Amino acid sequence: MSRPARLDWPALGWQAVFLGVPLALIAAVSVASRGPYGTLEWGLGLDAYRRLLDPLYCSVFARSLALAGLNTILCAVLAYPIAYWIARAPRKKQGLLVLLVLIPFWTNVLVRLYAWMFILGRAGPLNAMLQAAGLAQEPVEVLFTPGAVVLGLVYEHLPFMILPLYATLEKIDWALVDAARDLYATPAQAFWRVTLPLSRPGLAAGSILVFVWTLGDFVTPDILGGSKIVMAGNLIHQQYLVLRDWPFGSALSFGLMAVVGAGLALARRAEAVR
Amino acid sequence: MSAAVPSIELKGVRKRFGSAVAVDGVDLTIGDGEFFALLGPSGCGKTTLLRMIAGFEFPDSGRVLVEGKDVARVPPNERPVNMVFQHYALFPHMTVADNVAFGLRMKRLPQDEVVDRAAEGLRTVRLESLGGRYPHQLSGGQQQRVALARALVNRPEVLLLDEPLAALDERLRQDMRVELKALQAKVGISFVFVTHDQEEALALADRIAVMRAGRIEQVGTPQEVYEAPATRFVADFVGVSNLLPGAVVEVEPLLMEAEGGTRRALLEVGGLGRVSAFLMNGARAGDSVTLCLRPERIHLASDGSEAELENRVPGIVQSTVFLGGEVRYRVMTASGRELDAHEISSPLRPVRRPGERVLVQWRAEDARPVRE
Repeated sequence: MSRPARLDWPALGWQAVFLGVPLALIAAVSVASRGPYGTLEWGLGLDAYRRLLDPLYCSVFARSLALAGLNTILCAVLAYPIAYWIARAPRKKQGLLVLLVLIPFWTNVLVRLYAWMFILGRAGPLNAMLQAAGLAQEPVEVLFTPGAVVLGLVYEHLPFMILPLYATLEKIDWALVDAARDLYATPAQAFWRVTLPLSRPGLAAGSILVFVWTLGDFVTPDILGGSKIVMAGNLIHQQYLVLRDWPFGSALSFGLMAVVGAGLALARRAEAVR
Repeated sequence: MSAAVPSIELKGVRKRFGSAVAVDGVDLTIGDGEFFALLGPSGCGKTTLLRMIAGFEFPDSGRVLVEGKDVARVPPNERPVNMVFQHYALFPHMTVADNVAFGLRMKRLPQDEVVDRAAEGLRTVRLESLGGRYPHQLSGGQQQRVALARALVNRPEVLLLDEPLAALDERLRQDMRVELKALQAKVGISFVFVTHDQEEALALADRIAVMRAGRIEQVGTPQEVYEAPATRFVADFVGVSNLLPGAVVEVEPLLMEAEGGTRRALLEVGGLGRVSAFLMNGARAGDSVTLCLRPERIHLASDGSEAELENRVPGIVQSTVFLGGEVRYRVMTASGRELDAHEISSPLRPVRRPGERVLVQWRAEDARPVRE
């Protein structure tokens, strides 16, 4: 890396104050230990990190990774047609369509998840519809299942995939697709060989956003999974706020960061090889 | 042009977008091996017409025949034509070689043939050493040549070009004109190109179709379109012209049949007085006619000198623009009409100054009647 230019200092200062200092604090806490009454006893110990290797916690991380991966894939598959459709809509309509994607953000996520609780509940509209349609005799258990958590995760993160995808698709010169068609490509071939490769930056940005935020999410599994589905975010949340084991919570945070960092590095490596 | 099957035939082609009519009943035949220009201002339907030949748009009605086969409903990937796009539309994520090989790969030709033909295509446009580069690493002129190679390696029956030179700077455009013309002669297939630049159309094309508001105003060789514009629009759009509306005073009796269906007539033109011109047989006294008089057909003589040509009007030089090879004058006639007159410059003829009195003269056959 080259020496930072003068104009970089404000940005670096911001990073130092709002990222560097908190991280240093968490690092210091992670090597401390928990006193008998939840107090912090400063020191230099790696006990908290040793506990990370417990299969119980490893399985939580593995489950989180799997859920985040699944959510990323589902979001990508669902967001692509939507983003594509917005990008191909008449220019004048695109602003409105993007606004529609953003509207859910005007409401707090908790409110929206409670709305889903109501929708998915035993007495909610979903069950009412299923029964009215004769697809179910009794109320179906949807809420507090892994399916409900995945649904919630997809619902919550879909816009983060749509927006970057739309941003890259919107910039694609559609004459390129015409050119591919002119050069004997079928519509499907033109998509695979031209549109998809050119939209990869948006797909990558959206995937990173969705993947990372899903890994740290604890509200959705809590509310729609009924605390039965524990993800890495829930674990950290519990250690800090319920069990008051800050050192272990901090170690978990660093573990999660390491996993994310490794994932991003791998993705970058894969990108560079292509 | 072979007498056999024309490269392209359009019959009664119409296309509308919503309420806007883009192409309004076009009939056109483009011969085998012709270099053909679709010329017109923006929005005249020329690009839509080209896109219908390529297959990106389907006509609402009418027939589009390529090499005698009706392809009006055939998708672009199944037509034996290829296109060079306005901004080239080179695939930015592929190397030059992969761009050129794209069509061959889509056609599933054997790998050796793909490689050979792509290399040959790059050689044709003298870019054989740049196959490994990406499009953004090339200059505008090089990108243009890649686009040409990418289309031509597929050996299309017809090459379509959408404003092929518009994205280049002036100097390069001049060079590419010569190159395009040579390339077309070498590959021997029909080239159909769209342009709004009349000079480009005149310079490149064997024949030109001048379009306006979805219709073809005139089809002809560059010389025909320039020398004998069919309509006022064509006279105005192709080259510069003095358009002189007037009324027929008297048509001379037909003395000889050899005048090519025209007759000498005397006209009254506002601001010029009586002038003589050749009109089509059938013109009668009282008809109104617009004459197209090209500025370079006007000769200026000094006031008081001997008149040489049959039409002469006195005037005063309003402005003078010396362009080196040519001097452009604007002359106001005694009765208040402005005329553009362009003269080849010569060391023997001093440039006339504004305010100088001159005699504006031209031959009867140099002012052509045009339809409104």
